[in-house]
Amino acid sequence: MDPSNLRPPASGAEMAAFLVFAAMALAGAGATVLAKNPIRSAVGLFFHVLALAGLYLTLSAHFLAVVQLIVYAGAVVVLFVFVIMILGPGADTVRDRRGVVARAISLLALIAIGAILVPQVGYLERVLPARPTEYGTLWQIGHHLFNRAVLPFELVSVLLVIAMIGAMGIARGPRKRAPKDTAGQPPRARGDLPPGRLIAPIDPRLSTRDATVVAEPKAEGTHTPENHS
Amino acid sequence: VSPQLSHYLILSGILFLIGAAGFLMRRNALVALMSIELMLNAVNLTLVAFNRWQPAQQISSAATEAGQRRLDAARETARDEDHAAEQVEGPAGPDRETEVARHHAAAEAARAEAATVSHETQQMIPHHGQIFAFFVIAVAAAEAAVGLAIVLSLYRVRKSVRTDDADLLKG
Repeated sequence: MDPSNLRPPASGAEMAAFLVFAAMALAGAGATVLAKNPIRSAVGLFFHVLALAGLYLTLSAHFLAVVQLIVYAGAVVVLFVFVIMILGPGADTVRDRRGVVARAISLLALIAIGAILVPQVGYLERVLPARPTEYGTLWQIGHHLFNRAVLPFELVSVLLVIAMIGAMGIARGPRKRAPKDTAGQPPRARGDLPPGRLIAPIDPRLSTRDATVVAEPKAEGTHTPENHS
Repeated sequence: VSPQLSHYLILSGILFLIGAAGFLMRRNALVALMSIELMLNAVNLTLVAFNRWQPAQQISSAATEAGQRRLDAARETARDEDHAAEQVEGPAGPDRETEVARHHAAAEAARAEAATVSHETQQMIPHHGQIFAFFVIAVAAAEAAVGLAIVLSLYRVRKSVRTDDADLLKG
């Protein structure tokens, strides 16, 4: 094999990069799980994602590092922040002691799993193969993706379209049907919702309240079947 | 010293456990979704790390960028020389014959070069793990979008994002 095809021997800089990014990933993950405020969790997730992109770089996965930044830091974390902002104070949950036993048991079980698992993988030793020049490049990933993984690639595009439509359908909620007795009136504009409420309720009690709001104009003398009866 | 496979595996094991702990302990649906993302990221890290430690294989040089460039250049040269051999102008005679023969010889040389490239092999680590991680990222993005839509819709019904309050199917 052509020796120029191999990279120079590893230096201590790699270990330093690994340690820095690993500490950042752990801190980010800890902040995500422990933060009381969901927006701080999102910031922790953001730093975790940045650190993982750095770890991918130490593993010569350049393309994946960029994808990680674009998809996670650019889309997923921003989506989380959007939802937290939409919910406002509703995104916070009060802490109480319900289910504290079950949660303690699950934490203990996880610690036990970790105590078994982590030393096991710690013994795994492999010789690091020399890195070919083109390993992890966009060309190689694309070549592999479109020669050996075309079908999953296309299926993922179908999945993303379905998820997009499904997310829109779920987040939009059930469509509000216009009451029949307002047929003669001009349709209400979308932005014409009663003040103080951004999201249409589907809770039955709230819907009842909303119906009275909608029915108010008919008391002003418009002739509807209900008025005659 | 450079980081070993076990370092990455221990790190991703700890990250996965942090994510799992967050999913089990926290009752904010948003934080639970973020914990799922943590777990998916930890798995991605193992996939990419194992990929880096996968032994290299002999593959055709035509399946590398440099080899493909050489192959394309050789094929293009062969085509151009063939074309040039047909387009040689001037009066018929020994001069013209020599010129045509020169173009044919160049085309043959280029074809031989193309054959050499496609028969050459070179060391390359396969990219299965990275491709797998790529798909995991795509599925995680879809999952986050749908999950957050469900959280929004739960909030609309219950005015809360506590996972305890998602009990509409309770009899």
